[in-house]
Amino acid sequence: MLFVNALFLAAAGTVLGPILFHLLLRNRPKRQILPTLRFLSDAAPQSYAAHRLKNLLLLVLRAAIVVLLVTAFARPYLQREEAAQRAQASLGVVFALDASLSMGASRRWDAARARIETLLGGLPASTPAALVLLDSTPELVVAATTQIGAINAALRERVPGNAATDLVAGLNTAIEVAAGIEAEQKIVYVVSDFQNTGLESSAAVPRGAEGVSVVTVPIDDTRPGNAAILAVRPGRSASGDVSSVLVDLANFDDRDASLPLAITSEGAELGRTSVDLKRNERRSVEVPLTSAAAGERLLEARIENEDALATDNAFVYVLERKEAVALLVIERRGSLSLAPSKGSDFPPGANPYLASALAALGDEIRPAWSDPLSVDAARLATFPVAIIAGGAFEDGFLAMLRGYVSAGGAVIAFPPADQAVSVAELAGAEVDGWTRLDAESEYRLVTSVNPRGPFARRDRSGESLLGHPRALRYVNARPSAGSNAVVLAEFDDGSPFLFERREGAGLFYLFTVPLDSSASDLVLRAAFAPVLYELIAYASDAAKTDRAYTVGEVAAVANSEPTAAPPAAWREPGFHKVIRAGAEFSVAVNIDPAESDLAPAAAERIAALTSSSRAGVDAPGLLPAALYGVEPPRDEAWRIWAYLLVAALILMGGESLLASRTAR
Amino acid sequence: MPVATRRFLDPALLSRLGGMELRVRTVVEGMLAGLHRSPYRGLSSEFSEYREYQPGDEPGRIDWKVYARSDRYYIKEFEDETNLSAHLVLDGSASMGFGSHSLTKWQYGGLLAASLAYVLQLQNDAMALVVLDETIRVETQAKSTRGHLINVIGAMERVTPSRGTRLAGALHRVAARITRKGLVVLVSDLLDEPADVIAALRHLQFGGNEVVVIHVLDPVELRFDFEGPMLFVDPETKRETVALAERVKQEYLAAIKGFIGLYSEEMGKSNILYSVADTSQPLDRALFAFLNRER
Repeated sequence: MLFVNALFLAAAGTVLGPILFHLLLRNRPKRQILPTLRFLSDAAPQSYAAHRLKNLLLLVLRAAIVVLLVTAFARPYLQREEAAQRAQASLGVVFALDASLSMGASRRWDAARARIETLLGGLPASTPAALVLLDSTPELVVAATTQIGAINAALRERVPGNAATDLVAGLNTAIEVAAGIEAEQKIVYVVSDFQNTGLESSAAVPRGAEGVSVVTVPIDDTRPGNAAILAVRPGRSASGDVSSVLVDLANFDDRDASLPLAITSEGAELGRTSVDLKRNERRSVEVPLTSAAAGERLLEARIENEDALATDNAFVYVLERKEAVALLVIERRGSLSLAPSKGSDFPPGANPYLASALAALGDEIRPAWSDPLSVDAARLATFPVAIIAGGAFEDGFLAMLRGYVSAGGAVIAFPPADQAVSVAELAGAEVDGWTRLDAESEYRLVTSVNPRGPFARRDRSGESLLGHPRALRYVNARPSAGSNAVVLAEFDDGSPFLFERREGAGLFYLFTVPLDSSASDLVLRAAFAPVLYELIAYASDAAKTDRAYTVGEVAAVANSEPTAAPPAAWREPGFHKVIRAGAEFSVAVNIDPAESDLAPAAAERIAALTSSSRAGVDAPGLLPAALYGVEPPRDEAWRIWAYLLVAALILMGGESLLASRTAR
Repeated sequence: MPVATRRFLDPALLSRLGGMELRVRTVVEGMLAGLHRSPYRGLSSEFSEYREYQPGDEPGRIDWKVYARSDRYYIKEFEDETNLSAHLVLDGSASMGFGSHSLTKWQYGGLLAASLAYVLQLQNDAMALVVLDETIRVETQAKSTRGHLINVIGAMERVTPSRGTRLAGALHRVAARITRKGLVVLVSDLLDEPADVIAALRHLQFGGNEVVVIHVLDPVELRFDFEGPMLFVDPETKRETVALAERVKQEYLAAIKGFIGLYSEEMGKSNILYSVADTSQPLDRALFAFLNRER
């Protein structure tokens, strides 16, 4: 007989309790002078003998109760030698290991490997075992073999894939492999995190096979944290060197997270901090660098927790000393002079919303204000981006703009308040008056953003940086026939909000709402400055940031040759490095965003995976105890435990009855 | 009063006995007016002694000559004028030395006997003390003086119950020694063969003696209030018996009840006054109960 809680047997020493109790408290006959002794019959001593016998019986009962209770709590079970020997000769095992992307979260893969190794170690000798990996397609990694080392070696070499897994389909394959093993009893161990998304796609249950039983081995991680670095920006000192790094962090988990954040550059640690984020919180933190970073080098920001998906725990930023983007803001304000006033970067007559948005961009954007009359082609050519705001421009100015754009410049145009939009043609748009809405309840909402272009990047909720500006007054514009204008954003009624047109080597952008808070809330939004920055950066192509993309984010790769097809390797799900314009960055290709959802499936759904095995023999009853490691067949240990407890209770009843009779 | 006397004569008891009279049912020797009748009427009696007149005495018995000389009232006593001749027979065997509370049976019985002696002395009745065990250990003359009372009490004091019981044989010897009719009061636990004891008591009755038996028993002997395993030891035979008290109690009580019942029945047949005295009961209660039955 073996015991689950063998250490409990040490409590058997408590049987001394009843013995000591009996010895110390037993009633020795009390001596008493009695002159009338003659009136006791000769049979009187027999009463004492019976009393002693009952006391002895009580002692035996109490000791037996202690022994029974101790044995019961030690949970004995019978080593089924016969079954073990039978199992040894007639047992086959298949390990179906989930290798989907989610198994790479936290320490799931290591835990799964450890479980399989434990199960392997508990198998009787010469038990054939096989390994099937459940990836995008099931893969028989190790065919049935008695060489356990082959399975262990395969486990060490393999890592989780990048795709999702259909567990039911994979399990069918594993069952098929098990059915092919020459053994009386076959077991398929399904080792998986049983991610809800791996089972929700199908309500099916695996096919059963005669003699094959399915046992689920759930893998869970205790810390399924899910935090990510969304963006990295340099913080520059007065000298222009990068003295700190601004890191945008997000905690996508339902629990608070403590994130150790390290900044390294080419192997050397430059900065470190710890960030505490509440659940679902996003925050930017500034990490001061121990030594200023300068020059063309890689900065890597990394969350050192191993949580949900390690791929978004790191962000590589290519740091290079670069000049600020020179920006010419050309406003048409009639006779107002837009010459910069002394002591201020912005002229007094400049559009206040535009001015404040550009001021928020710091040293990365250096705007220069001008009126159209002060601009010539030479001056214009010195700026990679020009923001045009205002009313009608002369034909000569417009022609100069066209030449500027064709040569590679970029123009971002905002229409005048309510005048003719003379730059519409440059945008490849036809204008048909204005839409004016009188009440706020009738405002137009920007609801559609083209996934291409400068606002392609979206957050986890699917929102683009542009957001949903509202407009009460906008230009009725549409792409001209035959033009290559592209609508990058639309209102909810389909009216364009933003045009993009390529002219030669440059780009032309046209908003249909003016820089006027009475026309729309675009200029009032906090996102106006970042939108402007993204547009300027995208248009200028001089402030691009090389970065990795988090899973689910659509990467807009603007090839130099837009018609070129992506590499064939990109058709495989995974993370790829792309080198463009001398810079390298990572791209997540065809990753199923659902793999980031680590929520497990419902218990009933998991239990359904084993339903097909019920038709066969009762697997647990045939498993040697060693297959479960230390734990014996649970039901057997519980049965014996229950019998012993019932026996102890019966003896307790007998003891109580005898004790009361003895007391009388 | 001498120190030895104090042990037996409880003052509170005595104060209650001051007005009591001892009456007997049988005719005793002596001359009694109103209380006792002397069987030797008409015979001259030898002068015994003078005693001081006490309230209640017949004025006709006053010796006026002594009064003329002494101005004090005295009454002549004659031997055969003694109202009563009582033998107080005490069982002094080892079993009488047993007691489960403050008084052993010997102490209780002795106190009873001493109380009776005092009452008798108050009535100028002669009393003799006999202490028995296997034989007669103590025997005194029958006198009615106060000095004799003190001697009797002192004799009781000197006895320690220690030997075995052959009550019947000793009682027969006492019966052979009693020459005058009178009262015989036996104070004993009667732990002997009942038939032999009854026969001896009938022998005592022979010659016209009135026999009174006070059966003294300890409460544990009467009620057997024991629990658990017990090792019982007979103080006289030294026999030991182990038993579980609860198991043998009913049997014992039936036996003791039968024992008492047998004495009661047989003594009743023999017109012997019999009463059981539980040593846990107040002594005066037992005494008064006895004396009132005499009325």
